[in-house]
Amino acid sequence: MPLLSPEFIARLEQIEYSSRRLLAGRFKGERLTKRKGTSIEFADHRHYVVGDDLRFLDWNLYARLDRLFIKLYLEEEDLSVHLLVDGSVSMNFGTPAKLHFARQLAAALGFIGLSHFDRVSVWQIGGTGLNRIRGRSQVPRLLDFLERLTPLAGTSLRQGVRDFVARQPQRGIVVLISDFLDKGGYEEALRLLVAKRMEVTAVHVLAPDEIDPQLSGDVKLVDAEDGEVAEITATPWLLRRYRQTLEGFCAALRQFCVRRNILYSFISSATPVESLILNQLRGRGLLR
Amino acid sequence: MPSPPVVPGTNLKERSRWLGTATFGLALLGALGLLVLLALILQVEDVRGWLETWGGLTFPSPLAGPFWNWLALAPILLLLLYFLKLRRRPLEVSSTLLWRKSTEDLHVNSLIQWLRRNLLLIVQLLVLGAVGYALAAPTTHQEEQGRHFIFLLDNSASMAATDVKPSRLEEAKRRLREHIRAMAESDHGMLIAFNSEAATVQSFTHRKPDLLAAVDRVPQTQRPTRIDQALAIAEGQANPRRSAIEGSVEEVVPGQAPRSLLMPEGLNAEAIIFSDGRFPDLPQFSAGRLRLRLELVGTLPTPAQPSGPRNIGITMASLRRDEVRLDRYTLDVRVQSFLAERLANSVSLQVELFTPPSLADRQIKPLDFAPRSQTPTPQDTETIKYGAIVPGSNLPNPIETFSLIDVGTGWVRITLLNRQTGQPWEDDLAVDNQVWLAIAPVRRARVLRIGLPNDILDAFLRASTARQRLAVSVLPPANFEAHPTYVEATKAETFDLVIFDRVQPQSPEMMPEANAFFIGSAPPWPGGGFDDLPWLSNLFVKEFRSAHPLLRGIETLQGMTIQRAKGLPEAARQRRASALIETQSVPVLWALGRGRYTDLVLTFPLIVEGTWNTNWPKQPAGTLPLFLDNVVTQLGRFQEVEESSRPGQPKPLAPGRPVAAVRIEQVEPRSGPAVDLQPAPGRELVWNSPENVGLFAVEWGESEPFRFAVNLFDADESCIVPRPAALLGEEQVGAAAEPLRFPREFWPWLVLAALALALLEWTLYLRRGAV
Repeated sequence: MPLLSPEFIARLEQIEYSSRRLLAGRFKGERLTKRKGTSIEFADHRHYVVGDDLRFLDWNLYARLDRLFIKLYLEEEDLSVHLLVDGSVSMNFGTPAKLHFARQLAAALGFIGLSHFDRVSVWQIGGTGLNRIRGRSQVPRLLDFLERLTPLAGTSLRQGVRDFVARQPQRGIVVLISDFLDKGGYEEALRLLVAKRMEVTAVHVLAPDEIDPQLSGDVKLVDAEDGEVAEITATPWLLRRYRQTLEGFCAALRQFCVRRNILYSFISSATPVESLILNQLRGRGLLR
Repeated sequence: MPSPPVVPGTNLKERSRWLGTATFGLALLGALGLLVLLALILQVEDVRGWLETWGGLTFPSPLAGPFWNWLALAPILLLLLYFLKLRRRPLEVSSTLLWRKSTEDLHVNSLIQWLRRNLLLIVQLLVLGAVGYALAAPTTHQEEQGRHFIFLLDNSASMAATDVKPSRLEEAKRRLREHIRAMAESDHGMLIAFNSEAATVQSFTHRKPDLLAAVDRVPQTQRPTRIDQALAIAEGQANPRRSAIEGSVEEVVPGQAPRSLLMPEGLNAEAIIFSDGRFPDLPQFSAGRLRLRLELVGTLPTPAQPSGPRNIGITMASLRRDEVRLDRYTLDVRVQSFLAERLANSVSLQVELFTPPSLADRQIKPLDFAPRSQTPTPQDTETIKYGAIVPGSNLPNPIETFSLIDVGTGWVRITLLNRQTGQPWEDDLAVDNQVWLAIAPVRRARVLRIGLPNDILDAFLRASTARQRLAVSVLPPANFEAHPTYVEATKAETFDLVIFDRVQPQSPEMMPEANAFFIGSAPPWPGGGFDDLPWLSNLFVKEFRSAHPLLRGIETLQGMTIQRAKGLPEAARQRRASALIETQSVPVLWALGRGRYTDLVLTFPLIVEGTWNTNWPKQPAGTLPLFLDNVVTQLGRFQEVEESSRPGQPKPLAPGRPVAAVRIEQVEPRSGPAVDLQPAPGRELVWNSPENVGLFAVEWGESEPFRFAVNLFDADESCIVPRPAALLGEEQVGAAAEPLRFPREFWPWLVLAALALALLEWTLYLRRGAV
């Protein structure tokens, strides 16, 4: 099954990233930055100095004030989009698997970036990545990378993000796609990204079986990540209690994100990616 | 920040959780307690004694002690298995993070957690307990074991009354089934169904399914009620007359030879009669070791409803030829009301005369009824005897009379109607609301007269022929045995009665196939004949059997003398001989059996040499024609109308000629398939089982079928007021104040409980085992 369908691609072409801050890019692009440049967006005036391009002299001001001023314009640069995909073993659970959902989402977001000449980086937490690809010609490469993504055992969200930060990434948008079911906690990972002044979006993916487990009887639960065992008797009461715990966990994560200006989005892996892109992320300002 | 500790009962949720936990705990303790108690019962004598003293509870388990030791291991094994948690299935999940968080506070109280997990353990312990108790066979002992019950089930016509829904018989069966189910396994029961007769439906057995099946087999009949046969069977079971040497003891008396004494050993049986009590008292009955008890079925009169069951019935109907107008019949019908209250403007009587295939006449008369002559109250019904409840009242007109034209053949249908609606009358007993009478041509007696001239006899025969009672053929006495008519009469039943007047056949082989009346002669017997006997003179009648049908209506024969007569020797009356008229020396009128025929022998001639040999024709006046008429009617089978029979009463059929096949069909109301009878030559044709009331048609080759009716015609059966007590022997048998109490064995219920629990356990197992 392809990660992106042609119809979905057609709709994605009309969407672009909407950065809440004007972030400086590295190359000429389509996004206004704080830098002065050559776009048509007027920014300011300054005194003429020798060597300035005479084409930017404001002749109207010269006529009024008899002094030479140069018109300054905002520069249009590219945007750095970092897609961090949690590729741990726990993401490989669920029907459909959370990892598949994460692949689809990363493909869609990467396509949006590449379509608008943004610099897109895709990283598997605890694994490899594609660094700073740009332009639509890179879409096949992106999709190929995502399709070859395999779950990695023994990863840690905190360590994975730390490795990502250590690579000195350009400031930009970071989309972290994970189930956040990391026994080491998610807080430090998110703090690191915020500290790097990234514009962070946390996409919390859970499988339907995790949201509403259909268990019964005496069961020995084995953790796929670390092999830890939890013996439970799945009574209706315990299942109710599990759902309450899950709600508490999600609420704490949301609260954590809100406090740090992180965009948080919770989604079931059974929900179509289109819905997440076109409704949730678009409505919350990551995309427009 | 750690969450505050959970305080039990702080909110509804927590309270219910703790309540559930407490219930689990108690259930576990209860299950273990039951097992411990079972162990105590089986091991400690005192505990068993205490239970027997205080609860009448014993545990007659058929299993030996070592079995219980092995069974005791079962709960221990079960507990071990649970502690080992053999049943927990591994299941890989993405992360146990949330599950850990969910169960964190439960680990605070691991006992509660354990209880919650082990509902199955509790159920399985209960299953073990139920099985253990069932094997211990707990039994209550109100009375002794191994009793014998004889159930007498009344299935007579009155048991079809619907004052108890759906009917008295069904209600009796229901109660009987309850009794059977309540019997102990060691008890025996037998079932006798009784109506006008009694039959053993099931002999003694301890198998309840057999008894229950036998109850189902008892049909509703329309027969009257008699209990004597049923009680005789029951009494025979309780007080056996042993003839075998088995069980005998040797009695040794000094100086005498040892002799065996039989020790009859009866059963202490209890006979329970399921009936409405409508049967005659039997004061002469001897119960012996049989204990009697009446389980009354039916609605007793109450002050609110003094009538009790409602019934109006036709209890008699008869046709007789009109004495004056010979082309008409007179129909007498008696309708009786068994209601306590007066009944006016409610009932009418409809008489329909059918000439096949059409309705020839219909007459309707309104009926009014006075109250029942005696209304029993609940107080005095206890002492009321059979018949004391007067069957009913039909005042002011005891008998309704109708005049019907003689249609030759046909039938009469008499129906009670609801005067308001014109529909058939409905009450609690339907069987007596409609009756039938068959109209058949007068059956004249076919008489063959052989003998010397006899003025007296010939005058009677002429008069009877004129009254259409006889068809007489006459043969001369000389060499009559060679006459074709007589020869035929010896081979087939061409005559009903052959009169030999001073003549007789020479050998027994030449006796006719008919009843015979010998006057001054007698049938031949081996080694002798009537002519060889000496004459006895001057005889006078000393006594006669006035109850005999042939002497019916004769009140006295005083003064009757005979000049000459003969005494019949012993050799001539070997079989079924009964003397009807006796003189001072010898009997002069004998009835002798000959196969299915009767030979009536008058041992003196009426006329000797032209003069009367007896003064019978004159003194007492009128008795000789009456006697001769009885002879013609009884032996000649003269029949004016076809009498109706009762359900269950065998119906003799007289085709009057040899027939090859007989088919009987109920034509009104139509019911059941036709019955084929195979007549055997030389035997009387009898249909043994007219069970239902109605009109029957018999086809035996005639153009018009022979019809006869079967009707209840029993006022005692139509009176359906239940009788709560009956005199059987010296005992007033009634319903006991308390219901029967039986020892009860509980093990089947415990087995059922174990099965139900096992089923529950299985269901829980399946539900919990599936993911």
